[in-house]
Amino acid sequence: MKKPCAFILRIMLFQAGRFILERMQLDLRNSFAYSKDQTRFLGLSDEISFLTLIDTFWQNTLIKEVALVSYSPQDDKLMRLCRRGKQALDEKSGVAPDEMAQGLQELNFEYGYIDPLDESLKFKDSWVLESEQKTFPVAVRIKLVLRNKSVQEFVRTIYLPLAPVSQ
Amino acid sequence: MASKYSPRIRGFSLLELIMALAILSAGIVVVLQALSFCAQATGLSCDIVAAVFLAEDKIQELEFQEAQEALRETFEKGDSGRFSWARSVILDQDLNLYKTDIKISWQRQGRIQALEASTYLRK
Repeated sequence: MKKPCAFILRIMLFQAGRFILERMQLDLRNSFAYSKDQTRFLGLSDEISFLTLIDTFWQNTLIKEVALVSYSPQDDKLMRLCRRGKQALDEKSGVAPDEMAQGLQELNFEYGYIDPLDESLKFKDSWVLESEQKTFPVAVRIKLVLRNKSVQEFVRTIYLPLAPVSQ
Repeated sequence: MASKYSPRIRGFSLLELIMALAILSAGIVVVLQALSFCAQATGLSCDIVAAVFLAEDKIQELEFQEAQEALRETFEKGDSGRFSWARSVILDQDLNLYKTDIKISWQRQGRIQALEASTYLRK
C-alpha cells in the first residue's frame, strides 16, 4: 500500500486530535452525577471515567442515552469504553473498549478546583478521594500528544457545567 | 539528390527542443507551486484548529465565570505557545448582556493571522 505523504499525515494527525478532543468535550459537558452525594466521576492522571448522556440511534431516531464513558491509554492506542443503559454501572458487563486513535504518545488529565484560600482555579493530578466524589471538578485539562511522522501536542481545558460554582 | 537521412528517423530541431523544455519547465513550476501552496494551506489549517481550541477554552472560562456570577467588564490578554489571545467583556446596556470578543493571533511565515469570535453572556 502506498504511504501517504507528509501533508496528509499532518492533516490526519490534526483530524485525529480534533476528533478526540471534541468527543471528550461533548462527553464531559454532558456528564451528570449519579446521586446527590456520589458523582461517580473518577479521574487519574491518564484515565478518566464518568456518567454522561450520549446520542444513540434507536428506531431511526436520535435519542439521549445514559452511559458510563471512560478514556484510557493502552500501549500507543487511546481507548474509549462506553457502557450504555443498564450496563453503565455493571462492571462485569464485558463491554470492550473501542480504539479511538493510534500513535498516542501521551495522555494526561488534570482536575480543576477552586482553592478556598484565594478563590483561584487550581489543578490536581487525580480526582478519586471520597471527599472529591461528592462534587465534580470545575474543569478538566487534557493534554494529548499524538504522533505519526511528526509529533503534535493538543491541550484543552474543558469546564464542566455541573461543577460547584462556589465553595 | 536524395538525402541519406530518412525523414522518419530525423531528430528534433533546436526549436522543437526549446519548445519542449519550455513546456516542461512551466509544468514543473506549476507542480512546485501547487506543492508549496498545499504545505502552506496544511500549516494554516492546523494553526486554525489550534486557535479554535484556544478560543473555545477562553469562552468556556467566561461561561464558568458567568455561572459563578463573577463575570465583570474586563480586558485581558496573554500568550499560549505561539498564539496570543485578547479577550474583552463589555456590558451592553441596551441588551443587558455582556458582549465578549475574543481574538487569537499568531505569526505564520512572517504574516500575522487572526481568528475572532464574539458571543453574549448573561449578566
